[in-house]
Amino acid sequence: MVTTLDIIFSLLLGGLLFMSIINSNSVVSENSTIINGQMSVQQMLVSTAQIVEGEFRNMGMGVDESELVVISAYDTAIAFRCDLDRNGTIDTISYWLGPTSELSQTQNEYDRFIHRRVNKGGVQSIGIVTRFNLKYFSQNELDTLTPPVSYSDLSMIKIVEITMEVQTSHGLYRDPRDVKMNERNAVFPSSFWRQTRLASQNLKR
Amino acid sequence: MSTNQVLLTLGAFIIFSLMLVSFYKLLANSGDMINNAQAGISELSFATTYMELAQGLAFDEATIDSNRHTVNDLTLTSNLGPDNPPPFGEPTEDGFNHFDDFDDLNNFEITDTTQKGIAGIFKTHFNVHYVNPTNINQISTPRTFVKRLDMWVLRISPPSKDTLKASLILGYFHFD
Repeated sequence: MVTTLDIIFSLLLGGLLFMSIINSNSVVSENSTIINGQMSVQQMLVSTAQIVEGEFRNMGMGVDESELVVISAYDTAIAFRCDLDRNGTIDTISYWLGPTSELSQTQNEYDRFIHRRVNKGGVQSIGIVTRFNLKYFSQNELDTLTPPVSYSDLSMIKIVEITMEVQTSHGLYRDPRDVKMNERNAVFPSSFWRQTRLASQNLKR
Repeated sequence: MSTNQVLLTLGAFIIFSLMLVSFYKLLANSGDMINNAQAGISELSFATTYMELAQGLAFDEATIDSNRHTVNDLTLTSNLGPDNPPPFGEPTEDGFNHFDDFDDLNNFEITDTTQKGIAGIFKTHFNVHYVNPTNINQISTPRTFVKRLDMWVLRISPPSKDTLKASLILGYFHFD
């Protein structure tokens, strides 16, 4: 009788230990996927933001006051002028958000490239984002210019607000029972960046 | 089971529980680290935004409309801050939308909850001083043609461990 009880207790304890190990294993794999995903999106976002903000910061450099700095302004695309290599020749730099079809092979249906082109050179893909939005203001953040900004209003652009979101290309599948209407069937770690840039420095010095 | 066996089993359980607790603590720490890194990214995006907006402001209320050649024309050190009541015809200087010069930001505090997509509530505090042009780390009581903006950005909800401090130097110059 005592031996039988010993065996039953041993089995119970062993089962408990086994369940704990299995559970912690699944927690580890889930967490490491999320943490690695978060880390990679943060790194991707920071590296893309560094390129974009570095160049947006020089917007208008070397451009004569009488000339346009921003030459086209859409909600997901912009073209502006600056003397990029400081050789006295004004360059035109274009940024635009590519279509989602360019990255249709990834699990994330929203990720897409940000493209960049200098003058009429080759197109470079500088980062993968799920959101790249641009807002334009004339004087302060109260006076919004609705994109696409008309040619006559381009000279009024004083502030550009950049919003970016990066998500991982591959998500963590969710239990279909937990997925509600209009929700995605996977979790995609994401990171967000919003920044305001002056279209031209030294405007009011 | 003998008493020894029971004690042995309990000991094993205690060791196993401690291992589990430290294991989950480790996981929580990793999550915390990622969360703080995101707070850092958001704080940096706020700081650079405010720095950029501050850089677009005039050096001083006195330099908005005319060129100045002497520091005595500039705002008194004790008066650094919003110019309220504002000059005739100008709106009350109560925020970035109505600030017109760099030192309006002195003692200004902004709590930002409106940024969609950025989780949390962020608070930024600003201080503006005149600084010694030959040593920008040194605050100057007499007026100079160089001002320094110090800002502290922190996430107050959920609270972040670190506060981001950033400074911006603005010197006055003009081309005659």
